[in-house]
Amino acid sequence: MQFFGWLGRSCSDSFLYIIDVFYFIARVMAIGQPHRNVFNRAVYSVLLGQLIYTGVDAFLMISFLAVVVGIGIISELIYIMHSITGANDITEILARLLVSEMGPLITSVILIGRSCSAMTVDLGNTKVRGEIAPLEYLGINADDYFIVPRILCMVICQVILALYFSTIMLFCGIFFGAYIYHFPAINALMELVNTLNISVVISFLIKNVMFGFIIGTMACFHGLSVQNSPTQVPQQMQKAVVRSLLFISLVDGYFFLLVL
Amino acid sequence: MTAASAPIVVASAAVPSGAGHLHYPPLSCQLKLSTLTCLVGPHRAQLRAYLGMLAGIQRPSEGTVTIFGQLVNALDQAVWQKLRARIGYVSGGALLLSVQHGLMNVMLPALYHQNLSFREVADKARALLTALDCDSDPMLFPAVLTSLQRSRIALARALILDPGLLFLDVPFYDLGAKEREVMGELLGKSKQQRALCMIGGLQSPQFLQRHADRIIYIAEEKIIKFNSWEAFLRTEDQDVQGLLSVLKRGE
Repeated sequence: MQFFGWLGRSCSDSFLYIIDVFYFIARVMAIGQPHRNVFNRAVYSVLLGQLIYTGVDAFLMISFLAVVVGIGIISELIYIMHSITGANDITEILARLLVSEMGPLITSVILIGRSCSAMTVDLGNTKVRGEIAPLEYLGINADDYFIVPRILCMVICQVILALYFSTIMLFCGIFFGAYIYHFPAINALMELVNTLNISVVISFLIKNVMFGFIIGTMACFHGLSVQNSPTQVPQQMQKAVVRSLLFISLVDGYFFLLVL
Repeated sequence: MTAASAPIVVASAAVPSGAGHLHYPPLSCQLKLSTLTCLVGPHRAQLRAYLGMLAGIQRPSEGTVTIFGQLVNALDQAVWQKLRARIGYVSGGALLLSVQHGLMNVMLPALYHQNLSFREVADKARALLTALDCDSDPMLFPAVLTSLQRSRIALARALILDPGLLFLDVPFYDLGAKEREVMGELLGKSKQQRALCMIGGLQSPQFLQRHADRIIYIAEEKIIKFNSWEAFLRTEDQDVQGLLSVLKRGE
């Protein structure tokens, strides 16, 4: 009986959590309401700051990982596929698996580990210290000032960094593979570019926008879920990280089914 | 009634929607331009609930509160948001945004509410900080500032939009005797162009003696209004005398 009780509680908690998250999204995204004011310099300054922390500061780490993944995985994959099948299959696999799967996924994992956790802790600490309420008393909407720029920043960074990561990863992998295993790199790249049609590009963009939105939303939702104890900050941070990974896996699976 | 003497806030038998076991008697009062009203009493949570109600932060559970001619009970979110830009609020402990430096903390309300350039707002914030004798580097973060410097910045943040109404939630929090005097001078100056309402005034009786125009004693069962600090001291009410004796023992 205890097991069924636990199962029932878990199901109802999960259901309520989903409702809470969707309500949060609906509330934050209702920027057209008369009491909302997102187009102002205060929000713009937060957006710029977040773009620097989340995007610009992550470029070095993203570049390093892109080179490592490119050399370590792609070149090996190229070699294996080249020896088993032919060049055409290589480009299709590169386009499908690496550009549309690995690039966005690895970028999102980096952003979750690096920025989602930091964002949750930042917002959680701000709330614990009671710094949000005095701003609301001065008429500054917390959703406008704290949430919207963070989610927007995460979407922008995910799209740009995933594109950057995929490009560097492919270039490094193909050129390294070509150097080691002696095949024409330019031809492989040209075939790859020809494989990338508009639907692949749109799918790539939509997927990354959704990934960024999920990471930003989870970070902000769990950051603001902190009530009044500092011990809740790391708890919410863990939840934000794990649930971001979970939702991203679900969305990625959905995209995979769409492609099939 | 002239515009200057017209009340900015009118509370009629208003009862705050406070939590906890405390009883909240109905309050009727008016806050007028260039006056300072101080709420005193034995329970800080109770006083804060009344301050929040007069500031329009919380709607009264009974009675009415009118601020700048607008009935708080009936305000929608959009009007409430606009109204907030006309009301300054300094929180106890001067809770500045710790991830932004002092100047940005002061600039924030103006950047959010006013369509001014960054430079214009920064100039306005610097001028305000100078007027408040803020000698600290405005680019320092709140964590490295003293309590008085933080209080000055919090006051500047509340005044950047030139509000006609200023609420002070324990403005002398964490200040030493000399610092309370300095802060009291600044608050006294800012009283000239607006109505002030505060709690935590008993931390600086000298300030109340010089600047308080009305003292409202709020306890669980009664509310007593006094027109000056002297009248407050002279009262024969046992509860008020009890509060004053606690204050004297604290000194």
